[in-house]
Amino acid sequence: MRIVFSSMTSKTHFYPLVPLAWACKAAGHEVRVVGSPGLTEITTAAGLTAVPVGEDVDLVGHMSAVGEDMIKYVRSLDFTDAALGSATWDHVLGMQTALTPNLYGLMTPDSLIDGMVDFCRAWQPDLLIWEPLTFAAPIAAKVTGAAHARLLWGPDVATKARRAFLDRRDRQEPEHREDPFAEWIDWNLSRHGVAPEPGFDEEMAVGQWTIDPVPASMRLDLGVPTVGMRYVDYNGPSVVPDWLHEPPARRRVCLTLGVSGRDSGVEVVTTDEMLDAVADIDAEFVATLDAHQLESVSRVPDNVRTADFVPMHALLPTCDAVAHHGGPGTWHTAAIHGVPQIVFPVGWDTDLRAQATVDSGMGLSLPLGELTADRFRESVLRVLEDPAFRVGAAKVRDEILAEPTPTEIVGVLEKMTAERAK
Amino acid sequence: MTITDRRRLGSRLQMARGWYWAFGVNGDPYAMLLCGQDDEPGRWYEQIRSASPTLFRSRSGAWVVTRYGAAAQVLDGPGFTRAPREAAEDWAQPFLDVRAPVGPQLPTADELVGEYRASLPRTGTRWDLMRDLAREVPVRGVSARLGARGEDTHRLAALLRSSATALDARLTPQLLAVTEETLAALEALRELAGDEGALAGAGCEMAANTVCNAVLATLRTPGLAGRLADDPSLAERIVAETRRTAPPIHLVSLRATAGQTVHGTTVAEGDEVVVALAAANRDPEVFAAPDRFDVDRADAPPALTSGRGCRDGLDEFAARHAVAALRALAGTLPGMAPAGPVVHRRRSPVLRGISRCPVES
Repeated sequence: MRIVFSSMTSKTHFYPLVPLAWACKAAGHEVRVVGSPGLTEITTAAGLTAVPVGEDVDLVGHMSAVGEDMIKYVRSLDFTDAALGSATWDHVLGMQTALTPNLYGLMTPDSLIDGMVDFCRAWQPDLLIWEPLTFAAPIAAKVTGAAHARLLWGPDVATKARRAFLDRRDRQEPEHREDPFAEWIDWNLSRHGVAPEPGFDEEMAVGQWTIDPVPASMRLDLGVPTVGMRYVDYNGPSVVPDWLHEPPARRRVCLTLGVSGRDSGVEVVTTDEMLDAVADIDAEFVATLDAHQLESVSRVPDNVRTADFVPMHALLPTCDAVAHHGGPGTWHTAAIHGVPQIVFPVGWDTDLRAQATVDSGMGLSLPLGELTADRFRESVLRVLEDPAFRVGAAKVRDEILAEPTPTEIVGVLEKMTAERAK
Repeated sequence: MTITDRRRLGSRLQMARGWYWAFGVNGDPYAMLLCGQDDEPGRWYEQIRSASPTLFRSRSGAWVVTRYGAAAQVLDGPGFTRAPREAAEDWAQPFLDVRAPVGPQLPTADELVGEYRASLPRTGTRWDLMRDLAREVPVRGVSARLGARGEDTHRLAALLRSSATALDARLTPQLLAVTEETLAALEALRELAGDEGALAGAGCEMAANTVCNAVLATLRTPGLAGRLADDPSLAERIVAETRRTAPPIHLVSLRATAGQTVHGTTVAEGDEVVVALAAANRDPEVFAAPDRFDVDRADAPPALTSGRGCRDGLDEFAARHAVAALRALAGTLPGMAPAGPVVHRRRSPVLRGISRCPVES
């Protein structure tokens, strides 16, 4: 088969695609990664074949115009059952209204759609696999008649919100029913020659099927056809530092804000305060801090080792706990190694992931509103000293390991694609 | 500048609306007002008024005036213009020149009363006040004036209806399909009747909404329908109170041509200043019990209308239709009742358009 993998320009969004892309390639399929030029280097660094199309997104321009407003708005969103269950039509319509242009449309610019369609028309892929915010892929699939599947990186909160939206929409006066997301997809389809009828269908929002690396018990039950896949920890180009060869002399805790957390400047407690809070704990702390973050640190306690970048899949197996902002890469990597976690959720899917962390007994959640140096210290001590967390983490690890590997689902993808082509 | 590229126009409309929505949820009541997602705008006017003792500055960039005195100062003041802003958002550009200083010809009151009488549905039926009467009569009048006959009448009615959104579209983004339809209708009407044609649809919609609001206020105010039946000349006062509480145009956007002070706020040259007429007309410092519909107000100053400082005649056109409709309906209203919820148009912060108003009589 010819398979296109597609992602917006973000390591966090692209990395989860890499093991499956390699599995497809290793099974003899042809694989291309189609994305904006900014994805090229990240793609080739993963040993995959890049097809850069269109132009990069002007994120800086957008962020300086309304970035603060959008971050504030997105952080205000609550995807829990309680919140979405009682949400008004205005609230769920608002999410479609604000997110379609400012997140979906922003990360799938017109030039990416055009380039994706042009490439697919020429290369004729059988299947497109896309990370859930890169809607250029389902558009190109619809235009060219290819099959398409979505590969999630976390709880499917966007679909959960969309389901609540569809549910409320059907109860509005006919004059009030609207669908900004379908409107956006539709004008893109029409300019690529797809007739207005049938045009948009819900498959374009969620994929013909969904490949889901989230532990089965933590998946949101949204009724979409799902193929479970074991999470495989690709953290980008990785070099293991010397000091990691030695088994740790005492308990080890990793403290990280992840790759994208560093850029979003999530900081309600200063790094100094956090490091001070754990200075007298009998454990070694490995804090991943880049040069910029280090500048703001006045004193590094004796029990803290700082490192710019350490591949999580090499570091976490040596750790007794990890504290992080709830990003999917760090969370899944810790989960498959059975490491108890302390999560500082920062909105979007991280709230649900943090809640699942607590519910499964694998760790604790410290929302930013509750985060203080003292609470942080208490949480670290709890996770280190109560063996129940390790038991909970081991259960989740076993659940993930029970899923088929990327290699094992390639055959499933072949079969599903062939059925779609009929 | 006009956006000719369909996807670019669509993206710009969606982006602006998405921003307004996020600004609104983050606490900007004027942005929420622009989204036009509600039936009644009152709570946003209240929030704007209480947000600042001086002028409110929206995240959208506009200064918003909700006090009667300040609103009159801005509408009357030589330091403000309604001329299009060069820097206005690209998606709004095609609609900026719709409000030209030529208005519809005013029909005589008696003629109009006859028109409304002749159009009244039979008693003992359920009908729609907007579809069957309020929209019908103004559109028919304008069609006749523009010389439409036969099949052309239907086409013209559709064009007038489609073009009516223009006054909302200059302040808040509409759906792409609606925007395109409005643009096409404006072009066709301009070809047919120049600037008057471009404005005619808005005039008809303002008249229809005012007719509907005046009738609804009469039905909702205890005893008022009976008083009107006894004394049809009360129609003038009902319409005057309707223009105060539900003016045909709610928001007027102006631009400061010089730096100046308004209501304790320094407004710079080029700033957008939006007068929220309906809010100013409910200024509690000027009107006692401002939310009460009261045709017997003594010593109250006149309601502010969009025609103040801009004599395009649209307000008078709407008012005359409403008076005529009330006079024609005077005998019917005591036996008339709502037959379902009134459906208000969305994204209509300027006209506060009404889509449907089922009644039985």
